[in-house]
Amino acid sequence: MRGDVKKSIGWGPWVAAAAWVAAGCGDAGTTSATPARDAATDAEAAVDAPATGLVVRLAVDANRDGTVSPEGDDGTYRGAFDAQHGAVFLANVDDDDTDGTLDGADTVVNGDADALDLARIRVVPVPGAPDDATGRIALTAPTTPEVHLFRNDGGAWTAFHPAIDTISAADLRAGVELGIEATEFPTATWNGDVSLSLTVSRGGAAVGTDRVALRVAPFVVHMSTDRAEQIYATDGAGYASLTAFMNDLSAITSQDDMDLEIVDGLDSRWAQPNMGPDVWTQDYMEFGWTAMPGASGPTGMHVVLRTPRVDRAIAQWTRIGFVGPDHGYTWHHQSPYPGASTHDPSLDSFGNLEVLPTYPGHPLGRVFCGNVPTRQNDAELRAFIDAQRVQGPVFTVDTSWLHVGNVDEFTSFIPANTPRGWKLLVASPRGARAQMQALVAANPANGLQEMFVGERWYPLRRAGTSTTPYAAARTINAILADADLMTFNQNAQAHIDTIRQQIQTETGVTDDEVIEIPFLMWEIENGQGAAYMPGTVNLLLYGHTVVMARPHSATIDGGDYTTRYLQGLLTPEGITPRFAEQWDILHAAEGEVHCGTNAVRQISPHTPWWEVNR
Amino acid sequence: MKLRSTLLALALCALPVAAGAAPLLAPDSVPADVTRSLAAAVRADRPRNAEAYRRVADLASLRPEVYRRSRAQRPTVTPELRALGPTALLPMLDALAVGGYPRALTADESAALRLGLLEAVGGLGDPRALPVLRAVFRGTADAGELRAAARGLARVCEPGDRQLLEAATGVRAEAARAALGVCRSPEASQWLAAQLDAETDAARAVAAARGFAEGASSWGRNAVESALRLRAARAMVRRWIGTPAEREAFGVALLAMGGAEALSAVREAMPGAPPAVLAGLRSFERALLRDRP
Repeated sequence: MRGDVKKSIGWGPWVAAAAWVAAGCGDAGTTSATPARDAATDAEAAVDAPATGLVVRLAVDANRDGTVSPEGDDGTYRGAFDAQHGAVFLANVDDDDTDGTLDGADTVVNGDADALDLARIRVVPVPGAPDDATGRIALTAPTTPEVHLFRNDGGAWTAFHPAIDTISAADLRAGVELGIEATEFPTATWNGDVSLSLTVSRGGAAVGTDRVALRVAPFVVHMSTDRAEQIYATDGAGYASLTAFMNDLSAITSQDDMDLEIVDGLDSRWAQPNMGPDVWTQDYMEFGWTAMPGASGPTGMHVVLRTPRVDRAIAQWTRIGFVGPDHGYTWHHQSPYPGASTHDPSLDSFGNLEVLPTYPGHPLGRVFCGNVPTRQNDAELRAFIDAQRVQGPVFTVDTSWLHVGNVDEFTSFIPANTPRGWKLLVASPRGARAQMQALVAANPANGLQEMFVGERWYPLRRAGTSTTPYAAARTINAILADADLMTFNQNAQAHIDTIRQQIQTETGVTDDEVIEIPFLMWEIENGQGAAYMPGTVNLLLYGHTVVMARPHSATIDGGDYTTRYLQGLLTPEGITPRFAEQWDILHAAEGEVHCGTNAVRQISPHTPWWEVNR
Repeated sequence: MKLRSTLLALALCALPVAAGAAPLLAPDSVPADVTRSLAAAVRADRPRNAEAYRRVADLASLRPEVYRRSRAQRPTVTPELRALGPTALLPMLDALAVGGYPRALTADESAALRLGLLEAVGGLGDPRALPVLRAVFRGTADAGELRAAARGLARVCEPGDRQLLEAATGVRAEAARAALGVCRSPEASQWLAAQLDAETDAARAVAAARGFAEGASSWGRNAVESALRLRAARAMVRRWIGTPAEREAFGVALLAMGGAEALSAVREAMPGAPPAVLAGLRSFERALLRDRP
């Protein structure tokens, strides 16, 4: 164990500190709690301790029980960070006092709730500190700009600036409580690790020192299989096609007693003249969480990650509408936002930021997205996810065969009684074709039935023009006889099978744990496709309910045959499919239910992130 | 009502559609005799086909208030143009090479329209479009336009155009090979299979695999005879094993072709294959078996 500690932090185990604790934390005669440190790399360790008799100690919550003690594992492992030990602090990115400023963006503690977001560091009393002793805190570079310290004097918190502020002899004798917060999550340039030291000096000469290690909590992306707490969708009054979807979604979520919050897509702060609401609620934000140990379980906050797309006006809602007490915000993108030919802003939509749920080696899942050298999403975003160290490295797949190019167009997940606790759902043009063939084989008259009856392509025409939408209805026979369409679908299936295999190889999911969701695709332009039949794999999951696009398949034997098939497919899995009308507002515009919704889910429902040892 | 729409169509015809707009293709990119001939055909066609001209000149999907509301949030006009059908051929060629589009376009809109027109024109398989498509194929360096022009030529697949595609070099070579599958001619399939066997450039071999797979798709027309399919499938498997950098592309092509021959080629390669290769072959086998009724 101590070998692991030594390996993880780069200096020796706190053997002498443990001995000191065992001896009763008293006058053991040591002046430093870091006796095993390598003097060549840490000059402070060479301070003449025995000559002064001062015992300088910092204490943090190294055993992660939510309390700080100078004794026990808190003391023993105060310089460590591994899966079992090590202190954690939060990126304080929420706004507990609702003043419009993120709490970490200022150097004040914004009330009692904000104080709860500070991890505590104690300067353990130094009873014999002489009047000329002075304590100085230092934070290892380059962390200082991202980290704030505060001092607690009887509940009154004030900023503590290590470069300026010192700890007096009286305070050293009494002990001091500090609080620490980060202004941001780890990034490509800061791994989130902090080393904080206290040095006590007399007359300019150091007489004792101690050092503790902390790591800032990462931003963790929700898995779609996590328990949903709140559903989001974007509305826009007066848009009839959107009203149909919102009515269905509202009715479905009400039926399941699931909260639905509406973002006003026509709010003047982000609405574009004549553009209508940006209804792609999945794409302009991703929800996640962050947490640190607390006395009664993890304490943390929900966090929204804003899309890297700087031109996505409605994404301002994430900062304006979501942020509040225990609701934080973070945003990462290349600057300037790239316009290179290989960068595709569509891949920065967060239907392209999904998580492969828990599997061995990835207890918090692994982020995956579409990204290939010839068509990339934002590099800064991928670097940010990797920097969190708990859900990466980002697993990338080739989505260049899709027009929008997002992974949610062909994959999703449902909870299941499997070794990993979930099953993979994949789009299946193969299944859709086979179903149609079977229907015709069973009764040739079925081939004369029309799909998509009454539906239109390009319904989003501007008001007052004579531009005509195109009828979508087509018989099953006509679809099966369309050689170009079938060839395109076989190519799409080849890509889906390839990615499916990559996911199965990565996660260990077996064929029995993959469910094919049948729908055909079609070419949009330049060899890139999208769902032709409503893409029912692009779904909203909460609990054991999935909300899918109304399939608009042919009516066979008195009902929509795809609806009937999906019900028969998913019900035995313990999943209830519900269907929402969304053809005009989402499907005809290359999206489906998942694209038009989002969900805040439970904080830290799995293995605590700090036990993911990376 | 009918009178009103007729008057509207005549009024639109009278608008300075062509006068104020430049053709979407650069004027010197299409031979003058082709442009002259096309202009004459358009003059004759416009009065009797006014509605098609009006629709090409007023594309819903080229309006920001429409495309900004799509999920991709960028202009994409191919599906709308494709839906116009054969009557839109000359109006589309007019926009490309003669009259242009009757309103100012952003660079993205212009690029999307050019691509959409080329794809929709090419998709019609009408020989009247070939001179323009040949000019674009010879002149453009844009990958999407090259692809669209090559596929348009391949759809008609006149012998001279097939030879033009087979002889393509440089930036045109990959687009040409990938498009030749659209020909669905025995000669093109034979040529692609030979390329799959012999091509030393990996990217061109991938393009040949894609082209062959499209022409031989077991879900599509599947017009390629069995022995040639097996030969190509074996070459794809061989390339999949021997070209790690392009492994995914060859695998996708193999699955996109599908059929019994692909399955045979996969199974032939299994005996003695190293474990990692065997695992991949087994995944192909499972995928191909899923295709069976």
